Amino acid sequence: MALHDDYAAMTDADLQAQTKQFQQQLSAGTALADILVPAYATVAEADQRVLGMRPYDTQILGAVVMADRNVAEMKTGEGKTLMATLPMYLHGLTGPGNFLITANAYLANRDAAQMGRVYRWLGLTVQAGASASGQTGDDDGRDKQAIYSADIVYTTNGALGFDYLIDNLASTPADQYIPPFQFALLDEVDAVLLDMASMPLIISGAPRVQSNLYTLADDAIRLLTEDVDYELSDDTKQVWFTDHGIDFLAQYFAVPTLLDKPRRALYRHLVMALKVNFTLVRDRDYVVADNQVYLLDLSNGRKLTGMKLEAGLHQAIEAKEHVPLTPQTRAMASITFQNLFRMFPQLAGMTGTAMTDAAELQETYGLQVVPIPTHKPSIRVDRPDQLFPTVRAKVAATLPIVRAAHARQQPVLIETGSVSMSVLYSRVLLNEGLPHNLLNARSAAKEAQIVAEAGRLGAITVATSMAGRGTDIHLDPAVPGLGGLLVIGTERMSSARVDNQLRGRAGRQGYPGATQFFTSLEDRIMIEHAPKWVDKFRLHYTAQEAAQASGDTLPQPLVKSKFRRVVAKAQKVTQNGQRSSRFQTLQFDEVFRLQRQYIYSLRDRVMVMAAEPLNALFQKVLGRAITDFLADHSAESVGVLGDFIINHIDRHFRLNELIVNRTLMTRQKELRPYLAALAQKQWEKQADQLPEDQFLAFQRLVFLRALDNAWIEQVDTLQQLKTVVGDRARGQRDPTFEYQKEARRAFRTMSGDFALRAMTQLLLSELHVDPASGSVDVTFP
Amino acid sequence: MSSNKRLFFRRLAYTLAVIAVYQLGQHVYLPMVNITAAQRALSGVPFFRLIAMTTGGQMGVPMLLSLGMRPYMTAMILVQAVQTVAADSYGQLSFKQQGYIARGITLALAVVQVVEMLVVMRQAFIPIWLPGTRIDLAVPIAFVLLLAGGMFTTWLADENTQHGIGGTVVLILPSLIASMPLLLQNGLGVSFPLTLVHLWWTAGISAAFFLIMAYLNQAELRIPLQRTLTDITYAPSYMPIRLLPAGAMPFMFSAAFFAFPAFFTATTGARAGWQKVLVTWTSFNTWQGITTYAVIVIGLGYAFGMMNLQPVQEAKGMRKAGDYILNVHPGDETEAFLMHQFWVMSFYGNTVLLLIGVLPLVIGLWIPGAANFSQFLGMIYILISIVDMINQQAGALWNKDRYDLFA
Repeated sequence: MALHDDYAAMTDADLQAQTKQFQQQLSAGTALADILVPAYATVAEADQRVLGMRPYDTQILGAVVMADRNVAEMKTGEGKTLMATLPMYLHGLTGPGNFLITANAYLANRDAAQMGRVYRWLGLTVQAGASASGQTGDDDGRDKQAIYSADIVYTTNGALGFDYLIDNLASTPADQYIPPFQFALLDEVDAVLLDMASMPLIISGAPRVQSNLYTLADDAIRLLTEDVDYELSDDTKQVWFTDHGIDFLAQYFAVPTLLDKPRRALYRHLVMALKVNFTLVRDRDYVVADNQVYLLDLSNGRKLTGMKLEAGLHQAIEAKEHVPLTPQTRAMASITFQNLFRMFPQLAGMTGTAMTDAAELQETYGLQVVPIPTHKPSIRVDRPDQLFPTVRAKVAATLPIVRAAHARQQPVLIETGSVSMSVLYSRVLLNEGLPHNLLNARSAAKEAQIVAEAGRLGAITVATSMAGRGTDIHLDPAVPGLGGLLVIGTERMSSARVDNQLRGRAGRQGYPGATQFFTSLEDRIMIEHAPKWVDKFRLHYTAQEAAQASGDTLPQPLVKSKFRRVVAKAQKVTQNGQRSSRFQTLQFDEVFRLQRQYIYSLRDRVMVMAAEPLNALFQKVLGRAITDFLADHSAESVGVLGDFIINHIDRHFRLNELIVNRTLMTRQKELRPYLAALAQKQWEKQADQLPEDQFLAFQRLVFLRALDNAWIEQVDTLQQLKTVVGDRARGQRDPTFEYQKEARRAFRTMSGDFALRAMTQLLLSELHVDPASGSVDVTFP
Repeated sequence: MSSNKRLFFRRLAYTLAVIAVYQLGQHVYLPMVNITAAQRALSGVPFFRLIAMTTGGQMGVPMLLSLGMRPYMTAMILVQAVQTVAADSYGQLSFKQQGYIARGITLALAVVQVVEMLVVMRQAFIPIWLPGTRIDLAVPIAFVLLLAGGMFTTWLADENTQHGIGGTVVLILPSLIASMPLLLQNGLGVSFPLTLVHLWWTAGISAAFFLIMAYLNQAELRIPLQRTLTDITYAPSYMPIRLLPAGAMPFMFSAAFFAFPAFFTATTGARAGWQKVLVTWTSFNTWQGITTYAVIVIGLGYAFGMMNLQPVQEAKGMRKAGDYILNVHPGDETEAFLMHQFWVMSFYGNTVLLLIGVLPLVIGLWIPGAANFSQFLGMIYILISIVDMINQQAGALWNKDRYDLFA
């Protein structure tokens, strides 16, 4: 700031030349921290000249904080987008590999366009990484080469994550685009690193054989009666068959029992159908749109595109909703956001709400949270919560407030806990004759429009927790006079942080605003985590209420002291649960990460490996495949041995040879060199068919293909192993340690599988050389 | 050197440092006590010495770290018991609150132990007068010092878990190893002559025992599980029921249980009729006493085993997760099935424990001194289980990123 005048005095050309100067200094060895001050001054001045906006002191403070390993906690509306230009420029000076991660593609593209002007003016390259339609994949029209060669990339976490995974499925370096990671600035860092942390990004593919039992199972389940054939847990999150139910179904399917080996598949499908019918609720856990089932992200109410439940559960939901079944796929590649962002040597973040989870951010990521004071002091009023016994009473109590605000033309934002609640509330408002907008996972496409209108005079917006983050709500000029935006929360979400996000929507930039939460004993967190006396009270009360149904009197909030902390406590319990599950995910993922690192780096090496080292690897591969076979089938018959040879070494092998060499079967020690010799001969035969460099390419292809296939199974296994190991956490067995042991064991099994595949594909593939073009067609076995 | 090896050596160094500090602390005497008098008083209670050997303390001598690991280890078990009994409410607490509860229990147990010691040593204090008054501060100060020492040990143990190898029990190792010969010679008050012949026998028995137990310690029954909500290729699912789920715990605590009555009668001094009966039934040299000991060992074996397996919880958990055992209905039938497997395994496991703990005592009725093998072998077993755990941890650390596709 002291340099303000100096920089203001510089000409445009001078200012732009600063970039070159900085870059030279960096390549000469100056540390980034040393040029921070002049660089920031440059950008601040450039912001003024290009965008007409100069960063406030508070924004500059935030920018300094975010230079590395810190999270700037800044209230919404304080201008985080502009503030981000400073650290992004600073790191952009080092070349490609700098990312600014935002919550959705719309924001990423918008900010890249707007702020991009500043960077370009100063001589750096900028690109928007996510496609406009929010789709990811090869056919989304993005030029990945251009995007990832830019100094600064504005993208979403999903886009970056998927691109990273896809990069590692490439078969040649030409298909890899992502530069080495340098710096990532995460917007809404608490959402990305905490709320979404345990959810892995999975690329699904490699479909399994489709099962036709889903619909059958679903139909059977519908015949069951609660408490007779199945039971629900108190928190309604789990469901199981009773003995009666199992016997009934066995009768239905005319089998002696469902629990024996032949009926395993059927029983599996029945359990899945039971689970999806009674614990997963439409419009709360998933939505159905365009004849497809989409999962919902519970923390922000948005649709999770491209994510499916595993192990057939998704198909079970599709059967339940009578939607066409999609193929059951495996996880081909997977990474959690935790691990993706831990790969960056430098990391920073900004958000409106981080202090509540500062300890976790410090422990898991080494990020310190620094609260930045607001530019103008906040005069938002947070009214105390009101607790009601039933949802009905709660909704009824909110109406007079909404009506009064609307009559005054004060805009209101009403947050509901789920898609179905938002729809319900919308209907209530329609009944009252109050015009409003509805924003939930189903209307997500219109989010920008709806949010833009939310601050207008007389606007009423009903939304799910989607409304907590995203584009700013701009207020009409007359609105502050009326008291600013009124935010009404109708349900406490799973953590105080998410609630605070919502509160932050009102009263930004020193404008007036008010928030109030209304909760009820029938809310989700209360049902799942409240102490038993609350449950009893609730059941007792609803019986009473029904007895004295009166439509006119306004429901009274529960004010007895024992109720005061009940909601906060339930929230705390949920929070703790989430924290420990995140912690465990982190531990497990560490194991996963190490294996993944090894495999990915092996891939990279093989892609460019020369003939000699590759041949050496293949020798080992063949050796392993043969060893494994001999270990499992040592003294078996000619038939088994012959089978192995024909299916994995040489299709044209004559069994006669084995019969002639019968004595071979009895002398184990000679069997190995015999098989090895056979394999070697076949290998040479294959090599003779192709010129050297093409055979090299073929070998590389075989290796990568076998590796990828084996790794896909391993990813799937590791993923599901997490649930398996959780059960073994009894009696002084550390689950992380168990996971590591099992993961290691699975790796060993996988490497055997890989060796066999690789050998088979190497020796049995049919190679057709096209005489004219010289290209080779490979038919894999 | 790869980062993992570096990490391993760093952790090893940390553990060695912790052990060194702990051992050092074992030589800091309490200032306000007449050492010889105190030692005489404390060694009159063989129970103390036995406890101390298995928990790294030194209750025969009045030192700062006399309490050793006993408060911590007992607290650990109690916390596990709480977890078993009140699983739901305990699980709802935050990590911090759980930590506070564990600490609180440790503190309470430490207080009990300190009081025990002070009562026995009460004659040996040198008074420290508060200046200008006749208030003797020796005992309160001693109380605070001993308590602080105990909590310091607890803290050391936690630090080792976080930054070192071997978790909390590594602190016990030195005193364990050091006391083994002593135990063999004189553990149960019966002397075992250390002639050459005896030593050869000891070496042979110890070696054989070591090998057998190292093997048996890992033995477990694997019950194949069917999982409905997952579909894994490379890892079969099973539920393990260990042969020796309690590990060496029964040996660590049986002596305490057993010797308590003897201690009780020793301190009260009187020799009434019922006390004589009590002494008979709690002596290592009578068949009544041996029977009592056997009952205690078996009881502890079952108790620890149940705590580890928790068939009721397990069966419930399985049902909720959709897992099942082939041909067994989830719920009550599974619970019965698991219990049955548990009884069978426990039977074999307890047989092993009896062979270790009771057989020598029985032999000791004829061959003098053989009874000491009971404690001696028990110690070896404790050693095996500790070393096994350390080995696994170290191995995990060493191998953490050593993956080789072609191995």
